[in-house]
Amino acid sequence: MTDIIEYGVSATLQAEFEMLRDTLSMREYQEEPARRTNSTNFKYAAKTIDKLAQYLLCRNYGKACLELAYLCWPIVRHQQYSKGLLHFFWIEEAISPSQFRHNIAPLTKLDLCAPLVSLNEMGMVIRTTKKTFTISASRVMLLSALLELLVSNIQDVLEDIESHLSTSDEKCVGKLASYLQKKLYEFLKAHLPTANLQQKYRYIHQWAKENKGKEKLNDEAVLKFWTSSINEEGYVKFENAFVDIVDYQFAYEQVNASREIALEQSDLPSVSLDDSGYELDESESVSLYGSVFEGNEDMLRPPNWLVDAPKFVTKKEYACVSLLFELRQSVTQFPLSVMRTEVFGQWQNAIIQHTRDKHEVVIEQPDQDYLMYVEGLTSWRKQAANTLLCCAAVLYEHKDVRCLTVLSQAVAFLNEGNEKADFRQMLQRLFAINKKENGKSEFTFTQIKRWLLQSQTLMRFFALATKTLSKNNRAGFKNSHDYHPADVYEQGAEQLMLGAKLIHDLNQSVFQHIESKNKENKNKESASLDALFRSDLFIFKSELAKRHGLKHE
Amino acid sequence: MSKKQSGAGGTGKTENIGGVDAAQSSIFVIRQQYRQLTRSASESQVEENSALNAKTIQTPEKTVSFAELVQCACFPMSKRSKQLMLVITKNVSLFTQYEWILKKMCIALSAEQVAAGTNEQVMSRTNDDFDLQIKPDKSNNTQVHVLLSLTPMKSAHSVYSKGIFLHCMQGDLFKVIHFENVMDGQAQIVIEQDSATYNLITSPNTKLYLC
Repeated sequence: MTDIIEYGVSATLQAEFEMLRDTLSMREYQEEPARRTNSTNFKYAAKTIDKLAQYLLCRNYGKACLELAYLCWPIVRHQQYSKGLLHFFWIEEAISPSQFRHNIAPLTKLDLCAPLVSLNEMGMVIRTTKKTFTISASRVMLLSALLELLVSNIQDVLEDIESHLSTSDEKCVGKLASYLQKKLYEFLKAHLPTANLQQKYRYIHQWAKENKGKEKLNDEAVLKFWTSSINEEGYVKFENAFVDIVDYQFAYEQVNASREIALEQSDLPSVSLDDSGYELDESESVSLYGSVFEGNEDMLRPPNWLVDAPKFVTKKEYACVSLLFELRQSVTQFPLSVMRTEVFGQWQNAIIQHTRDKHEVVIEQPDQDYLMYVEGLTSWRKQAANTLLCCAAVLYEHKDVRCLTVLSQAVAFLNEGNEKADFRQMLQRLFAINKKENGKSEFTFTQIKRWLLQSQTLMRFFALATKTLSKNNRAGFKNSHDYHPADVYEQGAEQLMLGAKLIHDLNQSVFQHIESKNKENKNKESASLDALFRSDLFIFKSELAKRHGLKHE
Repeated sequence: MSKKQSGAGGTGKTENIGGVDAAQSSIFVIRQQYRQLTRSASESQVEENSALNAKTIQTPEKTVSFAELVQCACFPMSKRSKQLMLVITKNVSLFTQYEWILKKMCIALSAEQVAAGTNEQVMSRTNDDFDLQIKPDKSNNTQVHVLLSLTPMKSAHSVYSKGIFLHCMQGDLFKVIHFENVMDGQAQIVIEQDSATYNLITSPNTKLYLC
């Protein structure tokens, strides 16, 4: 424990976030065991904590601090009705929009003492002589998470908040907000060390410059970067080198894209910033971070909830595609690096584990080769098709019109070519009839039920979906008591589709690469997945032997 | 999408030492940090097995969150809370926080008593909010009755319909007595005379919190 290398986020802050995610809701204690569902009640939604992380990392928490200060003001001031901060945020947990409204309602009846509070469709409105301030009901959970973080890291913060807010003068809110902001800043300064990540960035940047990437970075560059960084801390693993290159390119593209937009909008000659080290101009950085997070929400937040309830994929199945989900559009740019990470990277992990366990390690070859990896992805797609069928069946049980869309997505994955064509024709026919009869392209669940009686094809596929569902014993698919609201099945289906598309894109890029190799060296040995594997095996074997001091077989 | 390599591309501003672009560098940093903070536990477990990070995360003793302390105070008889209390008594900072929570949420409290001698037992405590009496059981001399009566105002204020909890604290010792049935502000239970709870509740140095 003495030699702690902290890369960008201290172990303490990581543990804090882990703790926030794992914080149980009071409901977990209140519910009778008999009424308990099999899913755990967490106090905060995962995406709330992600959002909090985003604010902190972008140093964009000023507004949240002000909102929190405003939110606390009436709660502290009207203690006899609100019962105070502890009750509001922890005991009553008034942080979901509906619970929040419920707990704020009594405060709206106090007409005489400041601050005056009312509720509108947005949330809570606080009125003072000078201005009004609105706190959206949907923001309260985030603000509560912020408070939770403050409470566990800043001593006596609840008491500080109470003493700050004990007056009826609105100025106290602003003062509290800047106090919280200052405390948060001091805390983060110690826990978000950026120096070594900046150094990493500089290292990659230098390397890219020296190795002259006039053209786009590619698989060859990643491999070269890794092999040439053998003595560089942090690049023992191929996977790290790969991920960092992708992040480097991400940063490069994002900044350029947002500057181009800014330039178009301003039409003014760009003002260059002063060279004062890494201090970014405040307004540029905030708008830049904002646009990066808004524009890449999906990519920055891989759908790891697919493994929860409803369980769309198992953890093992998710692990197969988690890298694809994290890379998104970069998959096609670095198809071979993806395969190398999944095949040789995993092998390297196993070797590292063995070395650490002080086993004698003899280097042979990884558990799987490229062909097996690609086959694994193909069976992932098959499994995804099955789960899509189940989603369609659940949506049908929900009497939700989206069942048809999801069903047709599932059918698109099935192997039987004739059946697929049948289904497509049938759908087209039904849509045409519907349009003729009703004059619009939307349809209703009742219509789907009617079509079911008319079309044997549709009937057959829905029967298949129901049959598949009945065999599915995963959480959220077991039986009608186990089903979740309809929306989540649609969202899950969307992500499964995306996973399948990423697999498809990867396959295509790999085979394009092989084809172009074959064109290049017409007369030599022909390229194939297997040839590719064997040549990579040669490279990785010698690299891993160097890195981990291993013997050859 | 065409991409130009090297930081000198783009609109050519914010050049920095060694041609490093400050904005790009900070986006890179934030991207990496964000990944660390949003990764789920199981995934970071996998990551822990990596060469680099193996050095870093030897998960320190799991810390207890403020929310857990509140839950423990509200539901002291649950299995989870009982385990947690053992942790709380051993950690000064947690203990202080826990006591702060009890102070905030209790409907009535009784501080340490002034006693003639240090070893003298206090068999009753009375204040404006409640009255607590400890009386021997006439039919069984190994047991005592703990009788609690709250003033009507206070009995209406208890947060939970699950009766009243009496938290007895002294130094790093604490016990909770649960009065499950409270009728018109009156409740009683029987405890063993040679129990730790008995020693605690009769000691003048014990603080009592009624929740």
